[in-house]
Amino acid sequence: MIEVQKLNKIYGSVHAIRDVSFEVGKGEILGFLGPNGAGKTTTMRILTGYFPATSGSAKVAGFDVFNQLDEVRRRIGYLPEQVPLYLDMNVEAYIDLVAQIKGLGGRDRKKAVEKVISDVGLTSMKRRLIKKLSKGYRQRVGLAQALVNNPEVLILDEPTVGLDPKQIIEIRSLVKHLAGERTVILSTHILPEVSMTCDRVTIIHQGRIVASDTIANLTQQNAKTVEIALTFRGARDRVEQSLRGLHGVVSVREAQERERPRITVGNDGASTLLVAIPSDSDLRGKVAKAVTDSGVELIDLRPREVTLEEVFIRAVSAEDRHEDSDATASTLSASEPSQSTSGHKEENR
Amino acid sequence: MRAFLALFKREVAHYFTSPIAYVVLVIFSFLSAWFYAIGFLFPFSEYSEQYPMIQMQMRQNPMMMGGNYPVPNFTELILPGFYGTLSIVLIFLLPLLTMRAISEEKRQGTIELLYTYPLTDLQVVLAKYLACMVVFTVMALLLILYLLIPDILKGELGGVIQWKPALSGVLGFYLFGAAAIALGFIFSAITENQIVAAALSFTLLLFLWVVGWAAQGENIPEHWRKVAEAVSLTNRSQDLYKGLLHLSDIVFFACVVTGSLFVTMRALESHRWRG
Ligand SMILES: Nc1ncnc2c1ncn2[C@@H]1O[C@H](COP(=O)(O)OP(=O)(O)OP(=O)(O)O)[C@@H](O)[C@H]1O
Ligand SMILES: [Mg+2]
Repeated sequence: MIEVQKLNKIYGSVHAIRDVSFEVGKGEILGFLGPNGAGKTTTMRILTGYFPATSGSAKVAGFDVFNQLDEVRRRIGYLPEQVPLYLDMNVEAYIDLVAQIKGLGGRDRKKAVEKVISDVGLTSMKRRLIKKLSKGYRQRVGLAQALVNNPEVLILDEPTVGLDPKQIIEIRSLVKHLAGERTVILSTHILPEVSMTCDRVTIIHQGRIVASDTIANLTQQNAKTVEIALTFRGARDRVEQSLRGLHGVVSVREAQERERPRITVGNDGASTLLVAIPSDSDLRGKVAKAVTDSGVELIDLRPREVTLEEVFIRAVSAEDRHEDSDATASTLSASEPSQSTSGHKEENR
Repeated sequence: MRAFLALFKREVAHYFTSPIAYVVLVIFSFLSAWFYAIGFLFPFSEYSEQYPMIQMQMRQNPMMMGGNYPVPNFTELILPGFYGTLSIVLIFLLPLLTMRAISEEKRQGTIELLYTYPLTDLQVVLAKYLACMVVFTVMALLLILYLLIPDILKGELGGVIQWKPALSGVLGFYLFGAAAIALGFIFSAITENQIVAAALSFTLLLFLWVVGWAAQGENIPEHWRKVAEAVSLTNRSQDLYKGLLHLSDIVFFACVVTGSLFVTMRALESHRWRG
């Protein structure tokens, strides 16, 4: 439904996106994940025909965004990051204006306007001036204007930014619900948003795509091995030795700071080892026994889930190392495991 | 076409839901009524070209015209000066109408959505331009109202109106305003700041007025004088105000309008390309 190939955008001296390529299948919801300044908005603006790319090609709904822009525009709904609306109009008049601009007429238009207003939950607000609406409700108006022509493709630039937690949840479920058969690209820098709303995720960092896959694959839910995180107090080398001797164990390594399980009590002097075992065998009992037999105090044992956050940090820091900015990579890996990704972005800026 | 009409209607409504159009209309009504009254009630005031001569003669010989208060030729004596003064008023007022036409959309970012709707730049610019012309048309219609007054009074106070030259003056006024608005649009498209847009268009209009009378100075080389007279909007409308319809003047104003709107579209396009 959306095919992007080797897009580049250069603003004067800023090379905002480099060789960006990805695809979105029909009906899919793609999370477009990246820190501030990664190039999300730039990519979306190219897809919506706001401005052309410096090089590369993109197709939306089967039409080229450079040569067949009119066809593309008829088939997309776009919600820009800043949600620019005509503040001096009331909700209904504004949505009706957009419906007319998008070419709807007569009875169809009336119906479409009414339906979209009720779909986004604005019926009680439809006579209200947009400037008197709260941010969350403005976001709904933004969604309504994007949806009013029943577009095949929906492009949403950070639809939950600046909202309170309750509104965020409401908008997310609205997006998921309204997506229906549509193909959706949703940009965000909030990781849970992606796991909650999207089927697939494409991670962009400093203008490059650094990872692109289903969430299950990225978080290794289908991997051949699973890792078990063992936390204990006592001599580490002895435990390591006995685990290595255990039949079936694939590898044993020390956990990095951010890979440690988040135990809130009694973490003093504890160390954590990660033991990889085949996912089709259950060695947990044997592993636990091996640990206690080596005379240490086992305080925690759990399968380690790879969070999207880790995938993100790994992808991003691999890219940074690849780049040459070691400074960024080290700030990233040294950061607290509990730190939200938005925290990293502050540092990256 | 539906999209264009929808946008046009929204723009007209936008003018009339904000105070600016009313402020401009009220100031214009007041000033035009004032200048009209001066021209009408005191026909030999400084708005008449023959003022000094006739006044001198009247002083020397009060019975020159049979002792009656002289009846002026309203159309010839008063209207050209009246229109001329009003075009100076437009230089001050029209930038207020054009300043936010496009700059506001740029500042609020709403232009991003307009660009991603199935609309062309031409549709966007024309809808906004024509909406502004609607407000200006109200001003021009007011002038026609003034023309009806001598007819209603049946020449009791002033002369009887000669419709052809009088309407040619209204046309001149309309063309002058249309060109001034189009020029103002350029500045509204190149900045996000309304005040800057207003100041720049005011400056340009003022300049195009000043070169007109600077050209009449004595030491101006002939070719410069010709150029200055050709480009001065106020000069270009003079003949129309006097009832002299030249195709060249009409074509000139039409060119200024299309040229300015074209530049406006280009400015928008480059704004978009820069992101
Ligand atoms: N008009 C512009 N002129 C110059 N540079 C720009 C322009 N717009 C964006 N950039 C730069 O291009 C890069 C990508 O910006 P973009 O807005 O696409 O990032 P983003 O991923 O949307 O970030 P955010 O999460 O902050 O919205 C940034 O480095 C930004 O500074
Ligand atoms: Mg952005």
